[in-house]
Amino acid sequence: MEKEISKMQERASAIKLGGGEAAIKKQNDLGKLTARQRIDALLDKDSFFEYDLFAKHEVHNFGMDKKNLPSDGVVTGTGTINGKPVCIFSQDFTVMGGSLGLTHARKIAKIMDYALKMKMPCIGINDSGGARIQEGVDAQAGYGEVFYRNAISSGVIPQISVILGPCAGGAAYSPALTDFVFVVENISKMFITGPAVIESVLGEKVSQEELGGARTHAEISGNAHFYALSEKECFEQIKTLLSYIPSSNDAKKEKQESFAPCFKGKIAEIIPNDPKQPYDVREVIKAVTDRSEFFEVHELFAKNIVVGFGRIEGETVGFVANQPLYLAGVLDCDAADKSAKFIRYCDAFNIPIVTLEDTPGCLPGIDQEHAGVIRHGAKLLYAYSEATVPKITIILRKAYGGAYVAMNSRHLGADFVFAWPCAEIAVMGPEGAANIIFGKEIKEAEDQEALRQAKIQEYKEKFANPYVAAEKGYVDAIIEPQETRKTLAYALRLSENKSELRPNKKHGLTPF
Amino acid sequence: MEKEEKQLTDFITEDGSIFKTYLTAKVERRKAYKRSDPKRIESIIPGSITELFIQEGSRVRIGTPLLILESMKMENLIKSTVEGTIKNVFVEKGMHISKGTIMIELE
Repeated sequence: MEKEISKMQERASAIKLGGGEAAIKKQNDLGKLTARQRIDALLDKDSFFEYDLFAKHEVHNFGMDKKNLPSDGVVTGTGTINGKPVCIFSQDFTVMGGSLGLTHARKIAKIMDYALKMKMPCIGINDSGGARIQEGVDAQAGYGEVFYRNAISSGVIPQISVILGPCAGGAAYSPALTDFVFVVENISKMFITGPAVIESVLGEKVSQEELGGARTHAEISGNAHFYALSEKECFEQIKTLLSYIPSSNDAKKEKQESFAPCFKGKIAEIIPNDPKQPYDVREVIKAVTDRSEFFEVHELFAKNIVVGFGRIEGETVGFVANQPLYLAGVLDCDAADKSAKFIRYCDAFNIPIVTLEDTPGCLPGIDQEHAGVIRHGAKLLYAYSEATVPKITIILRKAYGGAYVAMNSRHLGADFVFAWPCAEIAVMGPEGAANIIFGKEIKEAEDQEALRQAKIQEYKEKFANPYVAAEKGYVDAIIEPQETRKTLAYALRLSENKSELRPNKKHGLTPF
Repeated sequence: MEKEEKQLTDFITEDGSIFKTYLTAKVERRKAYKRSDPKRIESIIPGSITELFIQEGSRVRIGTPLLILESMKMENLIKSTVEGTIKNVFVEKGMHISKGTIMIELE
């Protein structure tokens, strides 16, 4: 027996070397950890349990029968992160460039099936040159099996993609099907067609980094939700994210201990007196959350809207807030996409949604209209209307036009709508409204500017306030800014057992 | 969180109000909309001119073949979408052109 054990140990440690010491050194010299080092860095110490270490491919073409690919280029297994069980796979770039063949894909599929059955988050670390060409259509089949499982698991268990190397062509679709994508500066590369193809076909020169580097996806394309400067920082972000979200859509709510915010000032003072001046809405969020902690999702993308997680009295809450600091907080295509996905995430995983509203409307522009701002904006309306988790809105300042309706208004099914006394709930801003309603009078007046200003003032007093909406019951209560946290906590406690039924259907048709 | 070193800009919203705010990277690199002009025929892909059916002064109707632009192993027949006279031909047979090259101008 002793002999058998040591034989097994020998075999296992040879396989665990992946592509060998030289390849490991090369990977480390690039500032990248290896597949196994990454798992060790992310999971709780000694918690990793590996599956299919001895997996082998069955390909005979193109001299593949002579190739030994340890674990077929991917490490899979289970472990814990801060005590929470997770499934994980990590592609090994040192083994034939982490290329995906059928055995490799089936290992991933197996661990994904396990995650779905056992109701735990699935984390995928992507570092692969792409399809293993020698395997032909089997490689494509492998990708398909992963995509299918991504779609089926969606909304049941959290799916997290970590891009720590190339992830090109078809491989890039799997992360796009998951909930959260993490990228690291200089390491992550994602694209469907790479710079070489773009140059040969279109004659356009672009670097890998510009085309599909971490910053590009975090800021421009929106494919990435979290951006880090090192793999270590990235793993910390993943740990923090997992501390906020439940392990599955039917996991029991985990309430943590309640902490007072660190913010001790006056919330009202965050908002400038001049309604045309910006402020950082994240400061309002931090003024109401436990320990003033806020974990922002999609921080660099569509900065005109802020989404992320915080806790109120120990309970995880998803925040959606217009950001006056960027583009005055207008809604546009990207802001709608970003917030709609986040709202649907919260709804799928039973996380109450708090909306902080301060928006002057939509971004005007030919590019916006041609990009389909109508169908993009519709996603936001759809996501709020569809959501059955507790939905609370606080109107901080401006709530104009269609954007008022879109930002979780009473009309879209909000459970609670509160407004601060400085809220302006109106069909449009006073300037625009005065010009339309009193246009003729102003034109005919002797002193046009004086009359325009008078009419703007008149409109402001009559409509640019929270009282008209409160008279009609569209706003439940006007609250003092200082009472915001207390009110939110009360509303959350009150809606703990909320149940809202929807008509039976196969599924709705979300705008795309 | 990032350090903000940008300047606040005036930003006009849909009702004409002006707000002080920062711009996002995408809005900063926004390009002004350019109306397409059917009288200036540009290449939308790079490729080679393998046939030229017209010359300066030719009268063309809607649908008149102008040239063949071979790209990605496909022969793309470019036709006129307006009536008029060829004012300028900027390309010749065998020429390799990049994306966005003005090939023909009509009047």
